[in-house]
Amino acid sequence: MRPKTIANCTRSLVKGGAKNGIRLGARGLHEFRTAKISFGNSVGSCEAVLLPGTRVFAQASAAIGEPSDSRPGEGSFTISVWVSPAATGEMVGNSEKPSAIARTLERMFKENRAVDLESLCIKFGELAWILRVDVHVIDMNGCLQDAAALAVLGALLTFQRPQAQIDINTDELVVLPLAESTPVELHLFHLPAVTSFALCDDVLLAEPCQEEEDILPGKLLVGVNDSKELCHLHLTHPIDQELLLEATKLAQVQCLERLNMLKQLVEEVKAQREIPVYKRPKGPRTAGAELKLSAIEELSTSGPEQKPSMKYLSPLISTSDVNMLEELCIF
Amino acid sequence: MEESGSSSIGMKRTNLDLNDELGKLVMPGDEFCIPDDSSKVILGPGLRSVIDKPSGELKTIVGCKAGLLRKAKPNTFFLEMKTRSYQSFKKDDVLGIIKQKSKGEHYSIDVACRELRAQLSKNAFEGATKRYRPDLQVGDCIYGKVMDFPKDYPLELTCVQPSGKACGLGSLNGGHIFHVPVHFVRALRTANPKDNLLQKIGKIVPCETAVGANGLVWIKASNAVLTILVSQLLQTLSKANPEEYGTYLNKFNSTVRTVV
Amino acid sequence: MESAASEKHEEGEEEQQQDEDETPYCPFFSNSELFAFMTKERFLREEEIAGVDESSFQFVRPMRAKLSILENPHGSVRFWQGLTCVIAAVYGPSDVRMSKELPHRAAVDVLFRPKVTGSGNMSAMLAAGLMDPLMEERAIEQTVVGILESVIHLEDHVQAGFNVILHEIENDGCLVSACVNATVLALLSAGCSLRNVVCAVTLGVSGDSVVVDPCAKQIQDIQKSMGKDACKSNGLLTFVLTNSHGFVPQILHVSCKGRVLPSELKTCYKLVCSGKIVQEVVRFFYLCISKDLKYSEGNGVEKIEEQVEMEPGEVESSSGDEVDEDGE
Repeated sequence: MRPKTIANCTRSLVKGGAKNGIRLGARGLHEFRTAKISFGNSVGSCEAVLLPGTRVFAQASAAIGEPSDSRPGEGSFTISVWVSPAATGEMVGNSEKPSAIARTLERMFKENRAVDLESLCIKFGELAWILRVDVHVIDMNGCLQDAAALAVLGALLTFQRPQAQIDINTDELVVLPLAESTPVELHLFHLPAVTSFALCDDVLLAEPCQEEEDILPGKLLVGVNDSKELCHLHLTHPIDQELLLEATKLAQVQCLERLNMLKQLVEEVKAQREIPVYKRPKGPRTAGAELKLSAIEELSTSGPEQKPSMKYLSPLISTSDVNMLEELCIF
Repeated sequence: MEESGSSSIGMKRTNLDLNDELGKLVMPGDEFCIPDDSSKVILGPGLRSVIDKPSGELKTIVGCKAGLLRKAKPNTFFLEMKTRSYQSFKKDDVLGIIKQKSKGEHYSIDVACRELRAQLSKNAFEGATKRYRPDLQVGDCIYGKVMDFPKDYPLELTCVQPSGKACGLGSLNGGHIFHVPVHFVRALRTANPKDNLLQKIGKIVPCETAVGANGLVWIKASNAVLTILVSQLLQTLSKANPEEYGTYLNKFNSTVRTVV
Repeated sequence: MESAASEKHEEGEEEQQQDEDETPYCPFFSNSELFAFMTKERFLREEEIAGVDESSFQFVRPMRAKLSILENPHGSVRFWQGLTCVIAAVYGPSDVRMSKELPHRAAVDVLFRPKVTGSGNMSAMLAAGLMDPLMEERAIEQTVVGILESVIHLEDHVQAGFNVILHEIENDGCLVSACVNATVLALLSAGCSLRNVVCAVTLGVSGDSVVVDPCAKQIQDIQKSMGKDACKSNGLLTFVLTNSHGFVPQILHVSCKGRVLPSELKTCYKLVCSGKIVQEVVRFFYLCISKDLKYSEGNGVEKIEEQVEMEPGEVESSSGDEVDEDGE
């Protein structure tokens, strides 16, 4: 269990160490954390892990509804963040952390227009796709925004929605089921990613862990997209100009690396999806075993002393012990 | 059903013998028969006795956690698991961090377990009187002993041994405090000098240490770099196999040589 | 179908030299060489899944589990039952809100969080046949609470609480039984005192055939056949069983969704009580835990022979719940 209060000795160690290039963890001052991204079985689910100890899971889904009055030609996009008690340890929710993450994600994806919302419109003013991404923070150890942004991006990139169109003749909505038509992917204008730094009196620490975040006074979030444009900046402490430039350079390199890795993984997932079902390598069984009721009727039940036979169910097993079970049952 | 063939793994087993099952995995619900000889058997965590209510006789010993059965002197059986949570027990040595300093008689302490109401009396230090008592601040580390109060009382610590002397308890200055999983604390505190990790580390890097049974560890080496290195080593070892300790220690040794 | 990759450590920039009298600056800190003794191995360990040989699962869908994946909770598990995936985290015994505190035993609190929340999901859920998503969540939570109250030794931890958090990652049918199994594995890995090991299994009854642990497609087939012939019974039966005495398990919970004839219920009960299904699942739990604990078993054998001496205070302190003496 991590202690909730931070000891004074740790505080002075972290602050003194930061000035000398020493960190609590096994990393250098400007070394970023390792990220692992994995995709789930259903479309649009992605999990991002920032070692050690931060795990965020995102799921994208879409439903058809009415667009908003102010923007009738676009679909709508909602991000909902939930920090799980598994991460914080308290069953009662705290609303600070989720709102901070949600604010960052909204700025990055919605206000910067990362997702092409106009392509989500089905019928002007009446029908549009409502896109929704649910972000669950399962484990917490600093740098939540970074992991959340990666997870949301992964979810959006792998998400597929069915084709929906208005039938010309009858003017009705026709949604082609996923199984029968080619699903449509989302169109993203640019792919943003974000990295965070902790600030301490002219020293930058890349991607702090939870203790460093709590102890060090300042925090800097830099978001860079795949076209090397700065797309998000958030600062909570006075900082020198040169330091800020240095931070943006580091962040750019790191974000691009992460985005390239993400793109590569998404390509692999899409390539796997392209393979038709009959050609896929046979994995473990995913369906339950089917049995006939009549076969079970003749199963020999075992009393407390007897071991049941290991033979698979077959009608040849004797039925002599069925009576004993009749007594056990209420029927 | 004593045979553990592949057909009955996992199912509830009865009539097991405590001595035969040493080192094997015991699941909740496994029953042991009482040893025939009239020796005293102490049951540790994970095992409990089932007493026949009307007659008060001991019926069986039942496992209630999933763990490997181990034996310690004298005649104590317990289940070894990888626990992460700490349950406070009497007379344990624990490390705590002062959370709150109230005007009353107590400091409120954070003991890294879910017990919110741990307290340390301001007078519970060596040689403390009403006029002269050590002035501790919020955020100081202390090494204390859990006092022997009944279960309903909030957790109370003391920094003074029953004899009145401190003998190593009290507040700690400097260094670094961090947490390790609770199951690792056993490896750190064994009295067996061959197995004791801290002694092996101490040969490489001399440092002051304090290990709390609640999983908090305090390290103070000669400079900050070494302190952090030792703390990282301990956190790594806590996740590794016991067989790998040797290799880790060797690498650590060579690393420290390059630093110093 | 999960693809995972790891990113290489980025070599940090060289730090500028700084003058400091007390703490000597170490130039090696910007490489990962200094800490090379730890990072790589920990990485690999995370990938291991306690997978059992899949052919050993005859009835239930093949299960996989990864224990202790989260750092903060006392016990956590990521559990697959076929393609249904659930993450369970357990804090226990731990603090509980004053309003939920009970004077004579510990309180059990379960939280289930589905993957997609919010009203946008309603229409999709209704189409899938679930009645009301919020009620479904509460139903799963209350089912698990009821089961845990009879499995955990609650009297040992007065005024404490057991908090269980369940996250649905993937729903491919039988979510309730997957949640119960995941909870039990998480409790075992957290080291909570249980009375016995418990497992859950779902049977889908349709006409004259029974499907053990149906996947979503099979459930849909069962429900579709309801429309065709209103008299035919079809439903989902969920049983929660212990691995009790001999091979006849005790039943902790039975629930039915749909319509089932009593004779069919009897047959399903027979199938389940024959012990084979329970055996498969409980064997899987056993193998998971043994694989997880193998890491501490390392020099276990030597330790026993050496008769590890512990400090005198050690025995009482590590023996938590009961220190019991055996008389005659």
